[in-house]
Amino acid sequence: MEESLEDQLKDLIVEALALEDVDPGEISTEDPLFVEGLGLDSIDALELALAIQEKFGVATSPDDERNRELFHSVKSLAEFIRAETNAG
Amino acid sequence: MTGQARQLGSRRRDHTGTTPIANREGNRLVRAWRILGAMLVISTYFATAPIGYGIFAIWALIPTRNRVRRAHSIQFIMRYAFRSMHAVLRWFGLLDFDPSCVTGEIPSTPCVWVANHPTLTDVSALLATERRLVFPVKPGLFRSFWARPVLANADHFEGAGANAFTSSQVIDDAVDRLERGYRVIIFPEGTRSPRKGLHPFGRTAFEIAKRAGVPIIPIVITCKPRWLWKEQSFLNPPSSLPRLRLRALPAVHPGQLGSSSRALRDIVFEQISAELGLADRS
Repeated sequence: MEESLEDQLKDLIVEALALEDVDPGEISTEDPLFVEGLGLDSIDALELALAIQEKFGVATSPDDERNRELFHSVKSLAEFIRAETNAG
Repeated sequence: MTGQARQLGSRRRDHTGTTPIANREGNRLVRAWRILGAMLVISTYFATAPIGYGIFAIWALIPTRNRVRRAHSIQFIMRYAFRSMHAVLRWFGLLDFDPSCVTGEIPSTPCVWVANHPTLTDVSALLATERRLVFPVKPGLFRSFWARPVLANADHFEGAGANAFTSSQVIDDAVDRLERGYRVIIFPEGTRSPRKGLHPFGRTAFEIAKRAGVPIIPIVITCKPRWLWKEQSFLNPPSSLPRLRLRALPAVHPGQLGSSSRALRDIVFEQISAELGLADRS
């Protein structure tokens, strides 16, 4: 059975950000990724954006005002990637 | 005199021989002098600073062939302006800080200074201490028409603000300044420290040091009694003279801890917390 996009993103978050003490299964799909929730920071945001670009070929500009919204949670990221890949 | 009378006497008089009532009156006078001093400093500042700053800003904008020399000259003037400001604050009994009395060793080579941020005055205190210091400035201030000529031409650079994704530009700018021989000051809490303890540290400073391959110098800033924390007014000085002190801790080299900016952040946080007498991160 193919892994869902949300699960792929959870794996990617743990792997790309080297979150040694986090299990991908523990990451909630809807909880915030930054500050509260998983507690990621601005450097994590950059690394995650780069990892998503490498894996899914989807990129955002650093100045994009939607970034905060797009990177809010695994769910919002998955929706963004689906929308971008379908549009492409 | 009986023992009880001696005890009463000692309760009534302190070591200076003054009574508590006299002390209270003295404290009120000292506090009144501090408030008056603060008002005088502020009114003098607003009356004279715009003229001096205007001339300075126009000079900073005059085209030059040697941008590096201009940047160093602007920094030199800013450094001595901040030194003068602290001399005035010291003279008025508002803040005791001597820029030449930083304890600990600070390398003259490029490095990242990582400091806690207990008071508004510590930015000027840090900039008054050493040559070739730059720092990321809040975007609102950096982009303002009146501050930008001086800040940008002095090689300071724009900070990240609320947008986490702009920190890549901050890192690039900071690494560029380090490669050009500057030392970079970062307040990793991102804002002034809370009244007790520290805010969590961000990783930008440590990522900068890692990418540039330069040491981190943890700087412990204390201000006792505390003055000008986030919500405190300039016109509400404490009753005793605030003493601002800067202490540089031994350098932390990125290579010592592998390449993880998380590990660097955690060790520097622990060092500064320990120096401030804070038991743990919470």
